[in-house]
Amino acid sequence: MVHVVALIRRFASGRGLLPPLLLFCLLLALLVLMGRATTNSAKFGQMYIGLLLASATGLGGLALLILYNLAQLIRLYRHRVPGSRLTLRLTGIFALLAITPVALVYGFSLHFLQRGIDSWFDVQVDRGLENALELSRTALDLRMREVLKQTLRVSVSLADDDEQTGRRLDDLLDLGEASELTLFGQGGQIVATATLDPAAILPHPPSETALLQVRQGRNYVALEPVGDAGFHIRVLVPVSSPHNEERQLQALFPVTDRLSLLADAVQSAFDSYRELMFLRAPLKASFTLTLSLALLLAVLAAFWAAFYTARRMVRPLRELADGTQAVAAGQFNKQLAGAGAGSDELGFLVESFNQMIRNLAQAHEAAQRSQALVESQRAYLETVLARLSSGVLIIDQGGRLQTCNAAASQIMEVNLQDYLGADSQWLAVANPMLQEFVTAIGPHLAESGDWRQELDWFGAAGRRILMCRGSSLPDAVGLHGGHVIVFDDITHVVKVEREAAWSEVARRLAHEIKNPLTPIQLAAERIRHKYLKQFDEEQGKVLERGTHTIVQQVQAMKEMVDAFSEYARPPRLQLAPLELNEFVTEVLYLYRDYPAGVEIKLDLTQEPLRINGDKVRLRQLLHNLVKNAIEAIRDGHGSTLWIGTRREHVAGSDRVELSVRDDGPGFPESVLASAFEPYVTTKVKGTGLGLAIVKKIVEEHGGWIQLETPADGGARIAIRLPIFHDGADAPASPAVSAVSLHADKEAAG
Amino acid sequence: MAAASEQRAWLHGVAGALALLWGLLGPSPGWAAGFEVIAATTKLEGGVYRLDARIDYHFSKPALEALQNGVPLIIALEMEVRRRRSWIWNETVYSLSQRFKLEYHALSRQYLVNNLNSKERRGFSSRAAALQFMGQINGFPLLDKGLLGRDERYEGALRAWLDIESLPAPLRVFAYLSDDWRLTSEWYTWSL
Repeated sequence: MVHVVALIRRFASGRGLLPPLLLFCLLLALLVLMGRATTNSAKFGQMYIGLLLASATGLGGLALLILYNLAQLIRLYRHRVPGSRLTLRLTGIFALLAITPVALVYGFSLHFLQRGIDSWFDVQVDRGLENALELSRTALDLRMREVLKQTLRVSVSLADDDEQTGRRLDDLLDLGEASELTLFGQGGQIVATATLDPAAILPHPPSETALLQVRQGRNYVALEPVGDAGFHIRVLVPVSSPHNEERQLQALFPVTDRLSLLADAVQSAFDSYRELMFLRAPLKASFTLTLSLALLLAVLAAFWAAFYTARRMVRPLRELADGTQAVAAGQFNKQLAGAGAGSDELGFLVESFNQMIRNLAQAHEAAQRSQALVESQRAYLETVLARLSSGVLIIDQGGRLQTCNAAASQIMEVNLQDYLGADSQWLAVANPMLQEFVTAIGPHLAESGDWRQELDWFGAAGRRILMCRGSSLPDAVGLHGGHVIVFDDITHVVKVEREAAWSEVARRLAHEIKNPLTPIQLAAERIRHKYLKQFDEEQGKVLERGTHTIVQQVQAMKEMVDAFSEYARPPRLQLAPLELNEFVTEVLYLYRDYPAGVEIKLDLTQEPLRINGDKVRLRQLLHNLVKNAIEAIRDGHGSTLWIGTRREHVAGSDRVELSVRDDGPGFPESVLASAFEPYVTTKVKGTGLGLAIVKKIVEEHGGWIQLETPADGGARIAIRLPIFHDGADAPASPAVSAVSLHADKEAAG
Repeated sequence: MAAASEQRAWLHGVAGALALLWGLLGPSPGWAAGFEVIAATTKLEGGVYRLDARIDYHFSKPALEALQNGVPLIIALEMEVRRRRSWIWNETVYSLSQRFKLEYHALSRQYLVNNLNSKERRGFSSRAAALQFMGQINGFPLLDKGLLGRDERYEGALRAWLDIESLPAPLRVFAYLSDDWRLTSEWYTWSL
């Protein structure tokens, strides 16, 4: 079923040459048969109507298919489908080219047909046949008159005779030419009969009209078919009888052979001619019909051929159009099938198009490759820039920010990506924090060559020291001049350098000062010991006080020098995993009975916080912090110290925060930036090394320290340390892990 | 000039053909042509049903014209015997046809009626006489009673029609399409 539908669809859509060709041949055969049938051939005559119907059905079907195709074509044309316009035009032209000669031939054929059939009939022939018929009639009339006379003679001879009529009739039959003699009596009863035909039992009766005519006294003579023996002359005459009863004599005469033959020939010729003449009009109509059907077939075939040819010619063109559009839309993988294009110019065109597309595709691919290369290089460059710890800015000739890397944004603490393309002057207006930076580098942008400048800058996290290096770019490779500025945050480096210097100073001081202190103390004690007894009470008191002061101050100096040496001492850490909360609780246990006025509150998290640390150093750290805080509280009339721990999760990694907060006076603005530097202190007493040492210990443990001034007063110091992982991250034993960490630290240090 | 006359002739030809088509196919007003069975009945004589019938033949003008011009016309009488059934159509148990050929014999100026079944030929000086002869069926032996079932009810049916198939081919096309040539009578039925 699906097959059949597909076939019909294929047929209807005009694809494929074979089905319409077969249909055409079939219809042609039908028409030929019809033409034969029209010319009265007995064999095809019976089929005429069937042939006519079949042809009409076939042609109707063909016409419907063509109409369907035409409608479809027009619909495509309305929808402006590519190629439909050309198909329609070509179809029109082909159809016109084919139909014009066919119509001309049809016209002439029709004309000649009419003339030809008319010319069969001629007035002369017509008249001649009429005359021949008339002649035959006259000849027969003569014969009839003759046989009438004979019959009348017979009737006279029968008039008186009453007896022996039968024998008499036989005799008369023998004498005359009649083939049958019958005497009818009253009411048409047979009185006597004589016949030459030995097989005949009954005579051939006359018709009622003939009898009626004779009864009225008129003789009847006529040519009549008698039985199946051909035409006879029937003569019926009245016979006078002795008893005055009505009698009729019927005589049947055969027409003489020669006359009969000739008359039959004339009759049949006349009949044929009359029939033909009568059928002239239907015959013409039949021929015209056949001819018209042939014309219709030719026209429809021409239409079909036009459709077929136009489609065939347009298909490669439409494919080309489609292909062109596809290429215009950026599809370079389109290849035309070139079906139906063949090996002519259209085929060549299709092949050329395909070649062109292949070349285009290759070119396109090459372009894409180079673009990808450029992209990857650009990405590479960007990755490198992003990984750089130095900030990089590129400012073009017009002073607009062209490129910046992540480090630049990080150092500047401003997302510079938002300001790409912005004028540097506007940059300063848009973000006041950048103003100083812009002002500082502004003068350099005007000059060419390299420059270098260190600048102080106050960011959100305090004072920063930036090292800027700039260079004007060459006016080439699409850069159009401009400057590249590379800057580093060297605050930390400077601090480390400063701390290293302090360490060195402290070490030397400790070394240089500690040596003479012991002799000074010993000398002072010796003076006291030797001269105290020799002096009187007044002098002794002076000596006592003096030496005591010396010893005490030397002791103080020793402690100071110890502290210095402690600060300068190179790290020798004994790292081991420890639980911070336990550790804090244990250390602060010592402070539980701390002399009055200060309350220490622990705010520790519930969860265990494991870190990798040196217990001794951490204890020192805690002591320093607590001591520092308590002193600050006392100075500032505070009362409470909070110590807290918690776990922080920042940027995908966990860490531990240890915080110490007090409600003392807090740090003055002036020391915030350098609170962790040696010899920075707000206290009357103290070495100024407490927080410096704390910071050192924190850094030794891989953490960092931050000073904060809470909004509700006091001071807060937050220490952040890396958490110790001994689970999935460190499958080996904690000892090994600790050792390896230790080793890492030392390598880093 | 020649082309113009050609064209005119062509137009005439087409117009003539169309007029002829109209004449052949179109209706002929005021002429009630058609055959009609006026009466038909059967009587049982010696165990044989014999048919008596009267049929009126009214020929259309084109048919008469054809006859006059020597075209023989074949007229068929179709007879059937049907078994009556109460709830479905009747069953035809027997059928036969009688065919007459009616033609005009120009030489003798007679209308000849030829019974094609019995080969009997009769000549008539007028068409009316010939038609009357054909229209009178007297004592035609239809069927032996013994061939019919005893307890069944039967009916006879008769109709007359002009055999278009035997017309000359050119005429046949138009005869098929025109009412003038469709002269078939209705079935006339009677109880047997």
